[in-house]
Amino acid sequence: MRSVKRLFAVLLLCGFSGAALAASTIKLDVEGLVCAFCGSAIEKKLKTRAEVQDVLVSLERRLVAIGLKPGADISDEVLKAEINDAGYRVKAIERTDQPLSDLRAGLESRK
Amino acid sequence: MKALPALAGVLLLACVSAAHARFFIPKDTLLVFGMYERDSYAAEASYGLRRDWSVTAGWQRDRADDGDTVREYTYVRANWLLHRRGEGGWIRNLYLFGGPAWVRSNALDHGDEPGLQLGIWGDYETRRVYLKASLQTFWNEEFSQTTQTLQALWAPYAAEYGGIASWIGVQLQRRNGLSDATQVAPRRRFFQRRWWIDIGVGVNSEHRGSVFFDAMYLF
Repeated sequence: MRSVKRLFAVLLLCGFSGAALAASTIKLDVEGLVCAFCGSAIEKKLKTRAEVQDVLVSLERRLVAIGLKPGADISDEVLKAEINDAGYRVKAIERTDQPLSDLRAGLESRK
Repeated sequence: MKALPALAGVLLLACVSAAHARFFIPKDTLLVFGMYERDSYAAEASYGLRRDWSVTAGWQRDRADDGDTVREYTYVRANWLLHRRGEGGWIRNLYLFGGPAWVRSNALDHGDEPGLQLGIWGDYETRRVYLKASLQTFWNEEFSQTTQTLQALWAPYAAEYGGIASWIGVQLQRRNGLSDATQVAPRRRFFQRRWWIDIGVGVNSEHRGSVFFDAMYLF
C-alpha cells in the first residue's frame, strides 16, 4: 500500500513539474514592426485566439509577446501565419516561463 | 490597345500611391477613412481580404479652382499589395489599385457617366521617417483627373506602441485636369493604436490657408 502511495506522490510531483515547465509566454521577433496601426492589427488578431490571455507589443524591440492561458500553446506555424496575415514576417520565436506582466514591467522601467 | 502600355508607363513612372492614405490593410480588418478640405471631401471603407488584397468602397467630391466645376466620384476599388519588405526597423510597400467609378459633374453633358479609377502608391517608413509617393487617376470619356502626391514626414521622437505618435512634415500635391496648381501642405500627424489624424494647411497660387483634416480608424 505504501508503494502505491509513493508512486502516486511521484506521479503527482511529475505532473506539477510538467505544468511548471510549460511556457507561459511566447516572444516573437517581428521584422519591420514600426507602426502602431499595424501593431494594433496584430494585437487584435492574436487576442481573438482562445489560447491567448494577453498580448504585448513593443515597437522599440520589434517584439510581440503573447501571454498564454494555463496549459495552452500555439504552434510556430500558426503564429507565423497570423503575423503574416497582419503583414509582417516572424524572424524568431522564443517560449519562456517569464510572465507577460514581468516582461511589460521590464519594458516600462526602461522608458 | 496602345493605351494600356502607355497607362502602365505613366503609373510606373509616377512613383506610387493616392491622394489620401490607403496603406496596408491587414486581413480581416476594416479601415474607415474621411478627408475634408475646402475643395475636396472623401470617405472610404476598406476591408482586408488577404495579406496582399483589399477592397475599398468610397466617395470623393472635388471642386475646381474656378469654384463652379464640381466632380463627384463613387467607386469600388481593388488594392493589390505588389511588394512589401521589412527588415529591422524599416518597411516599404508598393501598391496598385483600380476599379470602376461613377462620375457625376455639372460639367458633363449627361450629368453622370461611368468611369475608371487607377493608381499606384509607394511608401517607406521607419519609426522616425515616413515617405510616400502616389498617383491616382479618374477617367471617363470626357475627361481625366490625375492627382500626384509626394509626402515626407518626420517624428521628433520614436513613439512606443500605445503612446501617441506625433509627426510633422509636408505634402506636395498636384491635381491635373481639375486644378493645375501645385498645393504645398505642411501637416501634423497623430496616431495611436487604432486611430490616425492628419491636420494641416494647404497653400497654392489660388487659395491660401485652406485647412484640411484627414482621419482614419481601424476596426
